[in-house]
Amino acid sequence: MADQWSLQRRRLLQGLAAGAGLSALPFSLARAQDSGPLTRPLPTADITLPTVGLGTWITFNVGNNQRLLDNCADVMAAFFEGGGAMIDSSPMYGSSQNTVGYGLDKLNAREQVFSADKIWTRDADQGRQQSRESAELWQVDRFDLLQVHNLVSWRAHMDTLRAMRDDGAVRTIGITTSHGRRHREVERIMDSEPIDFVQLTYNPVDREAEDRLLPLAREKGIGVIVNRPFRRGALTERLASEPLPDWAGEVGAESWAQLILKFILSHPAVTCAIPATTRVDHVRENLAAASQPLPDQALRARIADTIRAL
Amino acid sequence: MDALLSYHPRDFLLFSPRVYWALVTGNNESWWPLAILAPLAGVLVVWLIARRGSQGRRLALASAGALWWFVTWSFLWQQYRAINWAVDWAIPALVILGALLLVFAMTTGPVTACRPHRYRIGLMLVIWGTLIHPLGFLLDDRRMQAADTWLLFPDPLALTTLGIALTTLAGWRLALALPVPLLWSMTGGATLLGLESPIGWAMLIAAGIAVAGWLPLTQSQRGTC
Ligand SMILES: NC(=O)c1ccc[n+]([C@@H]2O[C@H](COP(=O)([O-])OP(=O)(O)OC[C@H]3O[C@@H](n4cnc5c(N)ncnc54)[C@H](OP(=O)(O)O)[C@@H]3O)[C@@H](O)[C@H]2O)c1
Repeated sequence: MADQWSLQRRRLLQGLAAGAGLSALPFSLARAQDSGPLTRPLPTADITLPTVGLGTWITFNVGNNQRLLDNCADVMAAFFEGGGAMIDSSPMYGSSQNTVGYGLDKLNAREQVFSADKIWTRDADQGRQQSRESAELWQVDRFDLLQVHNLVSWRAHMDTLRAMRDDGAVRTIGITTSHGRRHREVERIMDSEPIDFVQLTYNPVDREAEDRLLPLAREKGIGVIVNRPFRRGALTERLASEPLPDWAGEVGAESWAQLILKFILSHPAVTCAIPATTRVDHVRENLAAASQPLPDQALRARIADTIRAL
Repeated sequence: MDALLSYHPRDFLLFSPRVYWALVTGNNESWWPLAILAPLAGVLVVWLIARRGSQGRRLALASAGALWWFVTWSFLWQQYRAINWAVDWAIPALVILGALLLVFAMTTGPVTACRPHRYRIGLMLVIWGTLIHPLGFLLDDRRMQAADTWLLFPDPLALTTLGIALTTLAGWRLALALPVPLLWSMTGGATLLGLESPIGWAMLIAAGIAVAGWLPLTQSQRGTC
């Protein structure tokens, strides 16, 4: 699965980081390769990930429509060509897992993907079985990451996931939430469970995670996956008619989408953001945002204030 | 409550308008030329009901029953289910509804009494479901090829079924026939609103009107209305 790219990139990253003195930084950022997106290491495992991934909620639920399946495969092709790795899906997302499987098969891209899926069932005994069915749809042997979706029956599933990680049936495990929901419970789980990832909503207008979850993730060495970076498109749609401020050029952002992603990625606790898209140009644009320079504190505040005010 | 308020109607949908209307277009192509025959079949059902003969009523009921089986199999089971797992909960109820309507078609006797408002509302719903609902494509970004007609899709079929039931059934039979198409009209309407299709409002209003048709708002009159 993702071993090859992560190792190659890790070596490259170590070389680059050492050369540039980046290892001295509290949170090291580096490009994995000259033209690829920025990557970040996951503290708990030997994994380095490109900081922009690909979500599949709604966008990849295309049923059996051949034209739309091929369109999603095109998006995936552009994603992998641009150096992307993490694709996130769930049994809850209709036919999205099947679409990812179709794309991976068509593109022969099983080695390139960092496969992130979820357990989503109230039935405590069904976790393992559901993950097997999901892996079949993805057409992969095992997942790189399995998350408890929206904390559904999380206690029971956490036992299953820990056992699966110990067996090598999955590489890393985590939990997800969104829309700023149940942050107290998420915090408790992050505190008490040996998880590798937490997935949550974070963007210039949804900043609750900054209070406790993001600092805690840093402290505990838990990777953070950011969902709903564009509020499911509502943010980019709202901003579409507004001119991009000149100062966006200071961080090389050429669109609101890139400015938002750069805001997200500039938080040191964030491992990657997973915008979803149906468009090849958007996936390229999103990956291109995973690049230096990223905004400093002052610019972060300016981005958030500007977007909130519009 | 706060958590619930943080949802937008479209957050409850698993799929986009682009995908849903592509599915509708594909289904219309697969069953061509049923899509263009549907308004004609609608006119026929209106005529059957307006004639008030018991054979016509039975035929209208039987066609609604058979169509629920056909639509459940050809659209919901074969296609829609792939993008919306929640429909699994509805499928058994729709199969039972089809059976119920077929049994009623075989067993109901001639109308001996009816309530005028119920009959008029029923007839209006049949016209709405068969002839007006498909024009919803004019209100959003859809092309005509994505028009949903009562011979192929559950939303207009639910409205038509409500109308057929109100004009042809009474008493416990009517009470048994209404809940499923009513529920479908409400969830279908909400789904269309989630897809940003204004025809969803019409479905919700139609469901409300069907309930008004069911209530005993006018005196029952002997003979046909
Ligand atoms: N609880 C959970 O586990 C949970 C909850 C929510 C989300 N997630 C995950 O997070 C992923 C991302 O969240 P999301 O899909 O809800 O919303 P999102 O990524 O914030 O927004 C997706 C929308 O943004 C638009 N978009 C993407 N790139 C763009 C660009 N460069 N410019 C303009 N518009 C752009 C897309 O439209 P186009 O198609 O036109 O590009 C799409 O409609 C999901 O797909 C899912 O995998 C997980």
